[in-house]
Parts: sequence; C-alpha cells; structure tokens
Amino acid sequence: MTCKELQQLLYSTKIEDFDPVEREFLTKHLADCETCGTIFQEVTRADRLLERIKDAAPRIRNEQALTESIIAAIGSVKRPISNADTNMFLGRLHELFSMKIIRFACSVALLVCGLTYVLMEYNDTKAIVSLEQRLGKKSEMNSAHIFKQEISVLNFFHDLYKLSNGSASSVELTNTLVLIKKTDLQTLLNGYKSLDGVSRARVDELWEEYRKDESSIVGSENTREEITILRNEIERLKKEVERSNQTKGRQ
Amino acid sequence: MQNTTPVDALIQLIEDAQKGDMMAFEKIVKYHQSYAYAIAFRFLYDEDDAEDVVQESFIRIWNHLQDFDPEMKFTTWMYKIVVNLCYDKAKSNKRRMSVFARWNENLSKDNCIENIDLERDLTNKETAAVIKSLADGLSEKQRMIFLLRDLQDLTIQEVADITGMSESGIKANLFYARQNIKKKLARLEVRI
Repeated sequence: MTCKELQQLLYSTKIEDFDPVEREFLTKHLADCETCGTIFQEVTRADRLLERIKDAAPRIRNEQALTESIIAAIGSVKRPISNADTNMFLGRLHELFSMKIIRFACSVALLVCGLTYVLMEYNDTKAIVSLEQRLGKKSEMNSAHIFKQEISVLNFFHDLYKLSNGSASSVELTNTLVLIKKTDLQTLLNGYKSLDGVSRARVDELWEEYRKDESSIVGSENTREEITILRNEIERLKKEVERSNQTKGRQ
Repeated sequence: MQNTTPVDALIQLIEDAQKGDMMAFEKIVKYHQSYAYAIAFRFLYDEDDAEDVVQESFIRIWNHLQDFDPEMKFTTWMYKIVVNLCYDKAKSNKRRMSVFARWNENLSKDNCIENIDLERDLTNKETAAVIKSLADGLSEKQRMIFLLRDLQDLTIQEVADITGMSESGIKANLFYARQNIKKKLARLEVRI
C-alpha cells in the first residue's frame, strides 16, 4: 500500500473499521512516515468531531404537540379499510390469482366474453342499419298507414298498382308487415276504375284467385280483420265501377 | 439499534394499527418520531420543514400500513418514506429560493462553525450549521448517504434498502463524502 492509498483509506474509512491487515500496515507505516502520521492525527481528530456531531441529535421542540398534530391530521384523512375478515378474503383471493392456470383461465374467459359481445353488437348494428335503410323509404311516405298483411296481399296490390301506375308505393317491413300510403291506396283503387277492360279483367282474375285462397291468410286476428276490410273495400269499389259502366252503357 | 420498542411489541402495535387502532398508532408515532425528525432536520436544516416532513411521513405510513411488509424492518420502511419526502421538500424549497436564501443568510451569520463549541450540547441551529458547512459541496444523494450511514449509524445494507441504490454505489458515494467532510473537519480550529 502506498502513502496515497493509505491516506485515502484514512479519510474514507473509520479506523475501527480497518481490517487486521490494514491495521498492521498502519501501525508499522506510521512509525516511519511523518506525513501519514500527521494525516492520521487529523483524521483521528475528525472522527472524534464526527462522533460529537452524531451525538448531538436534533431535538423536537415539542414532542407531545407534534404527536398530537400527527394524530389530528390522520383523523381528518381516510382510515385504512382493515379488518381480519377483509384481510383473509383478500389474502385468499390473492392466493387464488397467484396461480398461473387461474389467471390464464380468467383471461381466456374474459377474451371469449368480450369477443361474443362484440360479435353480437356487430350483428345487431348490421340489422339496425338495414332496417334504417328500409325505413328511410318509409320516412318519405307522409301520413303512412301500416297494414299487417300476408305477403300475397302485398303482391296483389303490387300487381294492381303496376297495372295502373307502373311503380310500387309499398314497403315491406317484415313478411307480414306492409307499409303503404293511405293516398296511394286510394290512388290504387281509383286507378282500378280507369283500367281498360283487359287490364281490369286481369286484376279481377288475380283478385278472385287471391280471395278464394283463404289458406294464404296467416297472422293474428287483427291481420285477418284488416285483410277483410281491404277486401270489402276493393269489392265495393269494383261494384261502383261496374255500376258506373252500366249507367254509361245505358246512356 | 435506534428502535427502542421490543420487536414483538412493535409488531403487535402495527397489527393493531392495521385494524384501525389509533391508540396503537399513536404509540408507534411516539416511539419513532424523533428518529424521523433527526434525519429530516439534518437533511433540511430547518425545524419547521423537518416537522412537516415527519407529519407527512406518518400520515403516509398510516395510509399505507396495509402495504407494510412484515419481513422488512419497520424503521427501514419509515426511513424510506422520510427520505423521499425530504427530497421532495428540498426540491420545493429550491423553488422558494428567496425564503431559503434568507434563512441561509441568518444561519451563516449566527452560527459560524468556527465559533461553535462542540464540547457542549449543541442547539438544533448549531447542529444544522455544523452539518451544513461540512456537507457543503456534496450532492443531495451523497449528503443523505453520509447522514444515514455515519450520523444515523445505519448499516450499508439498510442504506441500500432505504435509498434503493446498490451497495457499491453507496460505498463510492460514502467514500467521496467522508473524504470531503474529514478534510474539512481536520482543518477546523475548533475545541474538542
């Protein structure tokens, strides 16, 4: 060990912390080296001063007051939730979730639930968008009237209207739910009046065909009732048209 | 070492406090506040700041008592909290430079280390003046390590646990701090 190394050691280490080899070297070296001897004296003195500083522990001005202020401050903050049962429950829960297999199973279950939920939401959204697109047409039809009807009734009106006007004015919402404007229905029936003989014969043919086929009527009592009203209305109009033609023929 | 409470009694007090027993916690505060204060004061050199840090430390201890690891020494956990709050306080003091500068001025005028008799009991102000002049030029980290190891008499392992530094890092910082301080002390013309 050189003088410089020893001096560094003296400054950085307490003498009582020297190991036996260092202590032996120090004793021998100090007898021969005046410079290191002076530094040793200084360091020894510095160590004694440090001990004095260490002993001069700072004192709290008023210990009781500080304790009281701490307890008072704690009283105004939330107390920890702690009771034996909670600790035991949380401990068991923690123990359970510390098992890898449980954590993995929970993760998979969460993932599956999440995906299912997303898929269901996607399908619902798709159905809603589709319905909205169809209802977009509905919104254009002011004073719309909804008839619950079997699909063949719609077909009948569709054919009838095509004959008179060449375009459709009804919207199929579901298999049994048809949306048609009241005014369009009136136009449809009025159109029937002005049909030429061949066209009217075709409508009559369709109508008879439909009217005979009672089995084609499905749905609730209300549906049947509505269809009957429609049929009667058409029958009334047809008779009106025939009477009007007969009067014209006589004239 | 500094913990005057028998270990078993302290563990019982902690368990009671964890269950919400305020009387038990008050006993813990009474036993330990002077140790927490010693670190805070020696680091911050100010009685009000030190008391603030002690109060804040015990509030944190109370709030996180459930997280206390019984494998750890209570004082080590407490010192860890105190040390972190000391750093926070020092940082906020730096922001209030004007106040701090005024205090420093008073300290240096009233308590010059050369005029302090280390033989008699030192007042808090004198202790602060001595440590401040000795630790002048050290970084906050070196100062804290010196305080914990040489003035609070903690082991290197405890200092490592408190500061989160490696033992070798602590030794290196301690080496520099001691060398610096001892050289200053050796030059002092003070009575001992």
